[in-house]
Amino acid sequence: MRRSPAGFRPVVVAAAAAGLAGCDGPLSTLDPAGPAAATIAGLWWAMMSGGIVLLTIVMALLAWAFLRPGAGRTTSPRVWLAGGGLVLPAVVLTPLLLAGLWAGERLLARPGVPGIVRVDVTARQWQWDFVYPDATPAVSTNVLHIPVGRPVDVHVTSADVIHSFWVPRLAGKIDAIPGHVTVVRLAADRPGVFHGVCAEFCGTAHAHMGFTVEAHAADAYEDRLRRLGRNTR
Amino acid sequence: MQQMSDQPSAPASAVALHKQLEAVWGTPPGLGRLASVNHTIVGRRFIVTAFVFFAIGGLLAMLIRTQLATPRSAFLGPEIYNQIFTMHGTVMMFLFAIPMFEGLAFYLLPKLLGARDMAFPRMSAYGYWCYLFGGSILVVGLALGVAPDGGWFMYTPLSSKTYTPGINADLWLIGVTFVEISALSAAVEIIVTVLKLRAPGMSLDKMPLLAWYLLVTAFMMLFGFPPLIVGSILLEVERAFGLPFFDPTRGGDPLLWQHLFWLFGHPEVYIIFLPAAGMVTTILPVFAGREIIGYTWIVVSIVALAFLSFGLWVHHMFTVGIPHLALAFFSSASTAVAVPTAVQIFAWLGTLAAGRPRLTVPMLFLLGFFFVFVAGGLTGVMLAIVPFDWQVHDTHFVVAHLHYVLVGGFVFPMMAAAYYWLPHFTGRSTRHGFGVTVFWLIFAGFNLTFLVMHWTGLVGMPRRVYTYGTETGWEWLNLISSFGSFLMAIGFALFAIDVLMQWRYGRRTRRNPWRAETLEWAMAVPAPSYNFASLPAVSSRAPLATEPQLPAHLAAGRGYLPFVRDGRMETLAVGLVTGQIEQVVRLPNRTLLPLITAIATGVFFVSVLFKLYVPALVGAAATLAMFLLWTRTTGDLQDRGAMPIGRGESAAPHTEAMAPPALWAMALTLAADATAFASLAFGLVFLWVVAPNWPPPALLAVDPAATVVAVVGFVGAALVGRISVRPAVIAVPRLRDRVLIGVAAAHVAALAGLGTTMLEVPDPTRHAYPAATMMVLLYAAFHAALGIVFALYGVWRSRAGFVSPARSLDLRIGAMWHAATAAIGAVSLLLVHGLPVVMT
Amino acid sequence: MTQAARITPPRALLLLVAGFVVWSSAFVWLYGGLSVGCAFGWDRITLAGTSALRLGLLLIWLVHVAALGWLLAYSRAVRQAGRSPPFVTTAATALTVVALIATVWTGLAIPATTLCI
Repeated sequence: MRRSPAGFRPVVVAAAAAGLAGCDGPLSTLDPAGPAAATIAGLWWAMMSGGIVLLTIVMALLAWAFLRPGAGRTTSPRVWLAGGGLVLPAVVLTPLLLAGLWAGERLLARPGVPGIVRVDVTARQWQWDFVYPDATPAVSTNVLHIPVGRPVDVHVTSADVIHSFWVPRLAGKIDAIPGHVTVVRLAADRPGVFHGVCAEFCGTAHAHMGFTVEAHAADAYEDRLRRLGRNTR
Repeated sequence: MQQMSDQPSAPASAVALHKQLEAVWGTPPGLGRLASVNHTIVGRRFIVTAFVFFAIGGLLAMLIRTQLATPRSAFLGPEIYNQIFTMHGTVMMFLFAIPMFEGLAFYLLPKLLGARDMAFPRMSAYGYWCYLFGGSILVVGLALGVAPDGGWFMYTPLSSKTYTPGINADLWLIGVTFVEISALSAAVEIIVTVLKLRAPGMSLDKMPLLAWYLLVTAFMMLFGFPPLIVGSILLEVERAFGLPFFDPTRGGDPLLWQHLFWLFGHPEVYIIFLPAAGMVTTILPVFAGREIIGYTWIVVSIVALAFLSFGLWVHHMFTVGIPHLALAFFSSASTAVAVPTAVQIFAWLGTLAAGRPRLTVPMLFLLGFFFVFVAGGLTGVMLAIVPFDWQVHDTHFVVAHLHYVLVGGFVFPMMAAAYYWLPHFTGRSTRHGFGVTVFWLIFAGFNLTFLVMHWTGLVGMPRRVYTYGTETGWEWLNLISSFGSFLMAIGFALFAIDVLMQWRYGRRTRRNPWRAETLEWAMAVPAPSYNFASLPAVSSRAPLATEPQLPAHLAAGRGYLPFVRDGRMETLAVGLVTGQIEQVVRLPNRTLLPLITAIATGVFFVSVLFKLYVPALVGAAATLAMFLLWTRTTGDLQDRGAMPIGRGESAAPHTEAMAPPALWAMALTLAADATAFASLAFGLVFLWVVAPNWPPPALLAVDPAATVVAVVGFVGAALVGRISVRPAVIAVPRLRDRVLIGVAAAHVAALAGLGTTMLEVPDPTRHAYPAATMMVLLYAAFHAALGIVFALYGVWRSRAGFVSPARSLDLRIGAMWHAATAAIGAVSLLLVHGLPVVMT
Repeated sequence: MTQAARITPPRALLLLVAGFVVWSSAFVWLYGGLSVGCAFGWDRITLAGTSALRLGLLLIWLVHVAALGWLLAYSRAVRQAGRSPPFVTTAATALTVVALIATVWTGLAIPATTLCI
């Protein structure tokens, strides 16, 4: 199995944490099966820990004010305002923003990466049509086939209203907007079936607009596309 | 006028003074109450109505939670469910949160500032009726099963005619726009009231912080609501007449709607939070037993927060495929906004730590606020981080976050405010124990519902799904959330009972039961209609601490204006920064006109809803005519000069002042107007740059003659409008009338030029280019048409005797409109003729 | 001390918000410039070793930072000369500092972040 080296560590961390908290599920962002989802899950665990620490600090200060009335009388207001209002957020937000932008840069679907697979997706009320331009004229509906370990650029558009393409265990979501083509890069680091949903409200059957992503090993993938092509023809 | 009117004297006793004031300021019982314009009554109406809508929104929430409690629930079908969640959001945002804050602002502001009423009492009443009628349209739609069902955010094209052919979406657009009239008029009124109608001596730095918060919030509304109003008008025009602003097949773009909506929608969150934060800042020091630390820090923070909050809107659009650097701009601003928020949190913490906090019921709710809001703020920072948002956007994580922020940042402080100010409303005291139960039910229920909901989102549950399967692993999380929500609902029901019990059976409270130091407690409770028997002179931020005898002195008539002059309602206006006495503002008395005007406005909106355009025009004309009728009792027929105001001082009436409140109101209205125009212009440019299916099939043919006539008309209106306010011109009645007729003629020329240009616009239903061009031209034409009205109104006022060199307000207001019209006209022409040159 | 004119009400309020008006301008020009630049493909034009679009955005950013620097000097001068009440000038100076920091913060990503993807 091939994994992008950058995504490896978050995968391990996230998997360990997920085991602890019971975060598995067919649509769980905390049970990642690809580098993009793993990177983001790693971000979450870091932010959650930091968030809990900060909330605890504020609550402790609050409790202190009530349990030791007047204890803060000698503290200069400037300490509260500059320390808590400026220094604390600056110390927390600067690394967080940079980490977020850094992670975002790595997840972008930038061209020039070897081995990219392209899929064109058209969302409509209420189904997903997938076209595989590398293996024309293969098409499929509500099932997307991808090769394991290779980056897949999903080019998304809509034939009617706005939908959103989301496979939580593989990557973040991207909206399907009529008149626009948007791109999300995802990859699966193991073979298997992953579930996807429409994440943008799109009408009465919004809740039923699910699909699946089947990740195949290289040979099986080629074979699968050939069969899809034959069916279409 | 009688000579004695200029030399009023204070009545002999406090009771006599009270009777005199009550006769003028009071509202008679029975049907007469419909005519009330008093801020205490209008404020209370807003609050009670908002609470009723809150109950409706809460009921809808219960239905949502019942449906989602179990997988594959057969309780509601998707058609009904979609209406319910759409209405839940719409009701809570537009019919509960904003009006609740407006009500509190109306009720409290004049009392906090030491004034007798808001600056434009009739506008408050008109705003209330617009709110009530607009909200009723939505609720009636819900009762009939045709409520909006496209989400409170109304994304196109789902809300466009093709995918929502019924009346549902129109109900939203019409109802919400109707309600927004009240939001905009409240914004103008709050700003003018805070800037001008303060107690003598209350300079900017002595204003209570709540007034700062409300001032900043009102400015945000002034600039935040116009984009949504423009967006709503465009969408309704698309639905009704087929002009394709949002239809990508004809050069429109659904993303334009998202930009306009969130350009309003994000500031909206802070518009809701800031007044609540102002309440926290007011209440918390009272129970901490010391003044708040960092007054200037807080003022700086809220101004910074107001601006930054306008740089966040795209963080609702992180998944629409916008370039990463653009996301970075919005991610930066979204994290930066945490800093001014943190400053306020630590100002509150520092105040508590330095004081000796008392654990009263309002304080309990403030503690709940701290926990819930800080937690919501932290998840907010997480959502500002772009990749994380890609995962959890449109999941229940966001639902949990926004409820932490809005319930934490608004409802908990409102509950604290309710328990804090209820004695002021009712004149009765609260029973401690009941409030504690209410708090724990709401607090426990809330966290049970929404804390686990973060997890529901993380394990993949999207928003707005009416059902889910058993294989998802979401069953227990949802069941817990539903259970918690019912606890919370019981808490709110008990709160309603508690309030009713206190109002009916509570023990009478003494004045200022919490030992607060702000002016609203310097009066008897429940508050008399005129607030203060005489107006205070303020020398500190805590008037009741500096001068404990102040309430008694004011009641005894030892302040300003301790009399009724000519049976008119008077209050004082001060210099904006210094707080020095500037003018006597004479306020209009009770009248049915606001109600009648609102009914005429309602005729317009309901007719548009049912696509009856002739009655709609009648309604619009009637509204305009009614507004003109309002002015019959404003103004003065003679120059008065400085009038005595008590304490040996005197001031000119507002009709003769340099900068009377109405002039400020006009300037602010024009600022909102400019924002709306900018949104429209942005729409045209945005579509041209970003939308698919451009360039358009045909461009606007330039008609040089029409353009020249329009330009001459606009420039003429502005220039002659300026001439019309020259003292030398005003001094000669026949000359000023002729000049004003000249202004009207210039507007007619502008209209003619614009009209001819419009004839050259290609069929606006074929492409967004002619559609948007047409709207820009119509916008300018609408201004020119109103310009004619303003000019002729000037002639009418002049002939009726309301105008003199000293009393030039009506003409100066007109001149402002003429100048703004010229600017908008010039930019419109530049845009529709220049853009094709630049872009092709 | 020179007897400079006092800054009177409407302008005193403008002084309070001037810093953040500049921030708003920076924000609009940066976001608008980026959107227009990407639509017209300015990111693919190379200039001085980097893309023309990035250079343009950096220029917009620096101009606004410079403007805020000037505004800061001005509001400090107003404060020292006592041309408006101390509260107004103190708050105005503080808000200008905050706006300056916010503008720098907003543009931090310009040098490094991908432009049009």
